[in-house]
Amino acid sequence: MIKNIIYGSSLIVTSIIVFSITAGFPAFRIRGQELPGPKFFPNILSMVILAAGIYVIVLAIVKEIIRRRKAEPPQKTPLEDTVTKRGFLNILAVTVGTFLYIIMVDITGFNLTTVAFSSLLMMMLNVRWWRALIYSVILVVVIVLIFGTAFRIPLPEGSLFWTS
Amino acid sequence: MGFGIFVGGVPGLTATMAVALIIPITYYMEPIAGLAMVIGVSFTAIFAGDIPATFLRIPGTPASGAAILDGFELTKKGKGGLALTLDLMCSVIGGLIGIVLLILVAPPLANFALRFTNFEYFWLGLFGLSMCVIMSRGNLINGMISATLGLLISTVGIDITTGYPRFAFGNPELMGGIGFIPAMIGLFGLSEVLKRVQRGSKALGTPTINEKVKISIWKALPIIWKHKWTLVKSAFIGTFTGALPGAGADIAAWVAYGVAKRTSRNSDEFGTGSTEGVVAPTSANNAALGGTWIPALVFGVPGDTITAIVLGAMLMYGLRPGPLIFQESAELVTGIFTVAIVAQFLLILVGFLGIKVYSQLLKLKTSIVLTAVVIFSMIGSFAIRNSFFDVYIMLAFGIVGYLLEKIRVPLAPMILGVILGPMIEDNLRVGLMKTNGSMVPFFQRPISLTLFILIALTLFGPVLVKIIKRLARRRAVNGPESS
Repeated sequence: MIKNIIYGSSLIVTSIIVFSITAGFPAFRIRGQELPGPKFFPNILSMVILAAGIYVIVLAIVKEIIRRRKAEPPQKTPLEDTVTKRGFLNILAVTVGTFLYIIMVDITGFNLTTVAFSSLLMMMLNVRWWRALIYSVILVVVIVLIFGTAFRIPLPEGSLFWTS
Repeated sequence: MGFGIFVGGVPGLTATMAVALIIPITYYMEPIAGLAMVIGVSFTAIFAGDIPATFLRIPGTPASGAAILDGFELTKKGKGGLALTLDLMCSVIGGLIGIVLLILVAPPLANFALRFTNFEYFWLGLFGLSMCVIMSRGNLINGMISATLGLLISTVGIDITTGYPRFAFGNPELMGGIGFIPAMIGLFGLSEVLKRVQRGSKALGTPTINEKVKISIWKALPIIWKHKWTLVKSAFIGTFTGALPGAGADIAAWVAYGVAKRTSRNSDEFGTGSTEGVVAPTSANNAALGGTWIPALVFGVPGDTITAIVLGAMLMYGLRPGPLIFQESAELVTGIFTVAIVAQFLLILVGFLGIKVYSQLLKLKTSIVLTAVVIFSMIGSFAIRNSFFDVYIMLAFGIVGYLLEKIRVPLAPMILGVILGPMIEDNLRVGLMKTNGSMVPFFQRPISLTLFILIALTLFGPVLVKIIKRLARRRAVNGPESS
């Protein structure tokens, strides 16, 4: 129930935020006639999301009341959905690591940053350090060949290595 | 075609990109040779996008999004090889049907497509979205919420009618809108990585796929025969949808999947590894490519972004796409049709090799493959617009996708909402401007009304059927008592 209440509340909050932002959008008038402007479609969608949020919360509460009346035990989270402590660290490694990677790649360049990030992530996921390093270097070479050479997509060089 | 397999199989590199990159190479070739390269690349890239979609749950191209729903589930059951064999054969057969329809019905179908105005395109977009209801197994409301959130995300950026920047907060990157490719890579790819690592690192020491991927056409053929009408129906849907300018293979695949699920006797199996769920979108997306050539050849109006680039190339070769091309360049048109048919047969060989190479790579440990997926997701998102902002988008959608799946909100409707949002909003607003704010004309035209009825049946049909069955059961129970 808690999950669904948080979910429903998030939808309601999203809707309120959208309404408050679109209140500042200008009206769209041509020759004095008001036509569907920039806030028209977002407002329709916000109303739908608001209604959905209320529905989700009400449904969660009603289901909980029925469950308690029938004296049924609460639903258990399936095993495949549980997050272990190590799993939580892995998730942090991927998300925070990606965020830091984006910041660092502009400083230290694509090649170095990608080898470092890739090796560290593999080591966190239980790959031996020397294997992680070898696979990371191979990965970077492949990416440079595909994206940098074949597709001529400029990969960041990094401000540390700028010569001019 | 090898180039197409390679590009399509790498998330972030799209079929459109592949075609755009091959065009300069064809500059010095004869027009038919150049067009042959383009046709070969586009068909193989669309198929190749299904390979990572099936093995890793990351669509290689937007048109492969629907292939995830059952293809990936089959991989989880150790039947990834079967899924991709079906995919390959259905892509070939669907592509052939699309080309045959192109040859036979191009002019009348193009005339029908020309009758589509703002009203019809609005309902078509909503029809595509209503398929999300069918795709949301057991949870209609969550599917609609997901689709609505996707539509809302599509409103970020410059409003096309008024030029006003919406939800941009002064950020020039946001003014360009939220790219749906980084969003898709994040929603499907990164969120899948997060799901896999959440249970700790011990389980990640095994190979990514445990099965020995066997491509057995003899095993696939009976399954294709069993679902032959789904295949043909989906190919027709794909061709027709592709013939609508601006629709393309992306929408075709989703619509075909939704229709197949809706009309199947085993609709409950869709989304759990149904072979029918693989047949439908994979035949539709390749058939759609044939459909996109219909308005391109007949009217010089591109059916999708790929044909938009091809039309530019045709002008470069000194050709004039349009009604007169059938008279002025009849040999070229015949050549295009012939090349397209030959490309379908060659796709079997090239596709077979592509699947084998990919499956060898996936024998690496899960931890290594997942790291590579993260890196390719980042680089793929970056490569679209050379912008790290898109990588942030990918990361944000990855986290959102992971959290949404925790509360059983399906992700496919959201990405469909992002893709179809501009089409739905623009056509709604332009339609309302034409009618001075009245919705009545949206229901008056025959095609509009038909689409509206289809949407209503899609959304409320299952509920109505349940009510009718309940009433019938009550009548059967009460009937003998009342007499």
